[in-house]
Amino acid sequence: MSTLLVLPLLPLAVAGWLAVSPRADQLSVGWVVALVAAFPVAMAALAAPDRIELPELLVQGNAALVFDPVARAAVLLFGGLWLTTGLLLTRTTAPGPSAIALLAALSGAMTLAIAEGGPLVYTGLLTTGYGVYLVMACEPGDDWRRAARALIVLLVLSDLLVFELLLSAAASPGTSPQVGLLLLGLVALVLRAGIPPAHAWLPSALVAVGAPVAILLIAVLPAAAVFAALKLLPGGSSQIGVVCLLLAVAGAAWMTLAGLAQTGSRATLGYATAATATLLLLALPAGAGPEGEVAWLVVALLGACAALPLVPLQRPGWTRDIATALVLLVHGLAAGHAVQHAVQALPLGAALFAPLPALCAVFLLTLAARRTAGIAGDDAETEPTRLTFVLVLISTLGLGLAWTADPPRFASTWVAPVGITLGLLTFRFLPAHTRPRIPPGDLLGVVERAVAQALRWLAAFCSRRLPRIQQRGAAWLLGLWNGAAWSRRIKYLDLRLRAWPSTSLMMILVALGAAFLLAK
Amino acid sequence: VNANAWLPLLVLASSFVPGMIIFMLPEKAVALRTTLNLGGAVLKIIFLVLMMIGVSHGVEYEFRVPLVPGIDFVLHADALSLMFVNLSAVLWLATTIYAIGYLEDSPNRSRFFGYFSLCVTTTVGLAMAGNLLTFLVFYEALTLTTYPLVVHRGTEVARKAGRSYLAYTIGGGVLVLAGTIWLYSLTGTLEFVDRGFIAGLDIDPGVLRVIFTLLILGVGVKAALVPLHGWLPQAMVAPAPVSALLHAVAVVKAGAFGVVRIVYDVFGIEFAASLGVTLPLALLASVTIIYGSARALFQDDLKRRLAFSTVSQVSYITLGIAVAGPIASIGGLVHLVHQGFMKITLFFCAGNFAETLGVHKVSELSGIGRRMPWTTAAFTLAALGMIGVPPMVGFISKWYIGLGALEVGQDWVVLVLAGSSLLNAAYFLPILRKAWFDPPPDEWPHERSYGRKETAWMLLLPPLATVTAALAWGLFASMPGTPLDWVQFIAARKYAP
Repeated sequence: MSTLLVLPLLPLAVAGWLAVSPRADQLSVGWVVALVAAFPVAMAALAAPDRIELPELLVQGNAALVFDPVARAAVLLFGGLWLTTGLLLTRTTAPGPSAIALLAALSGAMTLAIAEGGPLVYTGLLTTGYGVYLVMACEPGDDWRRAARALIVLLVLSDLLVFELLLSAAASPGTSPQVGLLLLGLVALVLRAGIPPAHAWLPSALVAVGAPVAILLIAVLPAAAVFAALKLLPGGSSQIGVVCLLLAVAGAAWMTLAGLAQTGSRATLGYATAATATLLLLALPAGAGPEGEVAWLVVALLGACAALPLVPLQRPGWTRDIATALVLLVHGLAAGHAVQHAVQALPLGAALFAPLPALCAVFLLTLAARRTAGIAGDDAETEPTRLTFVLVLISTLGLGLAWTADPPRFASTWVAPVGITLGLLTFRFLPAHTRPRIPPGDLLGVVERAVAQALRWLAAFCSRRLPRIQQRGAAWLLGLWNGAAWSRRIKYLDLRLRAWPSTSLMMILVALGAAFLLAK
Repeated sequence: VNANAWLPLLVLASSFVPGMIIFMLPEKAVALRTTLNLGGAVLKIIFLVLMMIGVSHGVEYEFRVPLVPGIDFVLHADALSLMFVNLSAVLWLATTIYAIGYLEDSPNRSRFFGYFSLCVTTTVGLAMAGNLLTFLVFYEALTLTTYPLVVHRGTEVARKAGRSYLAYTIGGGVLVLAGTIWLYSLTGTLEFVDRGFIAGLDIDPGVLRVIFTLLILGVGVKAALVPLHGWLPQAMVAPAPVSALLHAVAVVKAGAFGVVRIVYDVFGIEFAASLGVTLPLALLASVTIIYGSARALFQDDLKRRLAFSTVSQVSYITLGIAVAGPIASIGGLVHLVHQGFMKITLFFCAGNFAETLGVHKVSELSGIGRRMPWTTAAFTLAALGMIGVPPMVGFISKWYIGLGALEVGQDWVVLVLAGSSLLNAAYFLPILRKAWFDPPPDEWPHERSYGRKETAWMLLLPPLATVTAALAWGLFASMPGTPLDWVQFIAARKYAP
């Protein structure tokens, strides 16, 4: 049996075993999930490209399991997310999701990651979506219910649209998809990925759930939607590039305003994730790229977003600050690279607006990170942990592989410093009651203060010295139009040139040259 | 009469003879009754397997004796009839096992199982009917054999439901009779033929349209087409195995199968389309699909919600046929099997909830997944299948119907499918949420203890088996030997090359 089949079947088999085993209650949910999730991570790192045809599966007879660059990225991201969730569950005493729910969702995610052929991809997409809902519904309390209701409605609507898309594609095989169908796919993607205007459930859900579930909510649904779109709309979706840009710009602006209005870190993170998803939407029309560049960007961007809920679980100190800085840096650089990729499918004029969603996403994540920095790492139910670095490592790997596939240019590097700086500054100048008190010694605080100091200096420069410089410059410019002064200047120059010894030296050189030529 | 002619009769006898013996058994003869029930069911499946092998190799199985002058009583096993007979036989076995567990301490079990066997006999006869008159005989017999099952509990509500059931179904039978006589007077034959026996005859199209309407309305009563569906939700007073039988094995399916026979083997699908009767039929089926789903949304009684779900789901079969394209026909025909397996699972589970915990209403299902995880898991998978979530079989049916509709340019059907799926999700997902995620009550209405088990194994085994089949046939739909494979074989014969 190929190892590809093991990817979706292993979680299902373990879930089935847990369902019937009388000793299931004695097992640690976290370790079971982590051990199962370690397999996909190992596969992503070690396995060679592979392909299995499964013509007897579902309908159409074109189902297959493939392990190409897109699948590798998806397996790495999903495996890494579940591994982190599992490891986190081993360190908490708070009631978490059931192992069966987590494994069922993982099985769906793995199916989606390696599936080829519309109905099989659809199966993976649905199982992932409902699996994540199941995981969310295992949370204690009732705060998550409202968000969950909204999510399930969006998932059902999206599923129906994807079904229509698949049917239409199957009814006219071999032809490139029409714009109407592409828009249908686009709406389905928006509905299930938390992209504005279908984002409202995400911030409220993140506020209501614990860190293990938050990690999955942030990354799994947007990633699943993007991977499914890459598989179902391959290559031919550049016709809707401008529509995607409009959606992305409007959505990112909306998320920025909404994110600014928040005071909590999780809610801001929700808006940052939604803005990141809009950025991925923008990158989609250009296709996955020959080496799955967009898939690796998904890993980098969503991995970084998913790492942020883990930051408060780290003890305050320089490692926590480093982790936060790395999260922001990787996210910012990946966002810039996504813009570089996205402009390939955009007209020249429209491409000028492409960096805006990236800036907004980076800005909002920075804001969320700063609001997270105010949270002390002394959760009574969870032991301190440095699991942030697992996701940071995965997202860094994603960025590195995206850069390898398409080397970065200036367009992909400027977004990070600008976006992060804007985020830091905005946080600094937000009203005091809207931002948490950050303990001293914070690494980003130093940067933030330095930037603020530089800004103050700039303000002082602009308000005091700049007018003087401006006056001098103006006087000098006015002087340029003074004819008498010009006459005096030319006369002065003429006199100086005549008096200058170089004139004599030049004459000697000319004489020597003439003598040389004559002698020759 | 050669040996092959006896096999259809043996298939009938395998349930008829045990049924007649069971009538005469005393209530206490549990072991003998169980043996007869299960033995007959297994024997029927063996005969059917033999016939399927024969049919797939081109063997003709036909039993024919004169019934009235000029018309024979014909039992004929073709690919279409074998599909329905197989469905009935397999689900009869599952329902028998379930009913044995369900009615363990109930009175009048001999009467119940006797009629139960007769009901399956008439269903099998209806499926193998080789002409319209034989079909009509079994169609009426089915009404008479299922009536005692509907009123089995003997309560006033049950008797009222029974009266309603009789009024509707006998009325439907009269319409079929009228259509049959009129048709015979015009054609002189009633034999079912691939692509229809009317095609090519010189008959006034207006008359043919009226006959088509009579026949479709007649079978539409049992197929629960709106507005002829009123008996079905009322009949939910019957015990759970009877509900399962009505919805998945016999009555409703007989109506849907009747639509298939009339469209394919009486009129012929292409001739019916040329008469312009398929589009109104598709519209009627679509209205039924949406209406049934919308009514199901507001039912608190679980079985009534499932009943309205049946009203909706069975019309997928009619819709698939009426779209009049080979691919949509595959979807419609295969849904005959798929819906049977999913719906019987749902009724088994509803019966388990009622029998084990006394839970009858959707509002009482809170936290039932923690108390009965296996039953609720089976219910969940079947409900997801009804919505059309892959890899359950419901997805396969909807896929083919939708694809077939697009193939023949009837894009509006896809919207009907989407709307129905949305409504299905709206009335099934809240049940699942309540069952799995709401806290259970301190005390169930009427809890029966089964020790460490959630319920009796005879109640648990059938839904697990049927839902496993529904999952496997969805996941491996394109494999040889699946219902989809068999239906593709049928569709190839019903459409001209």
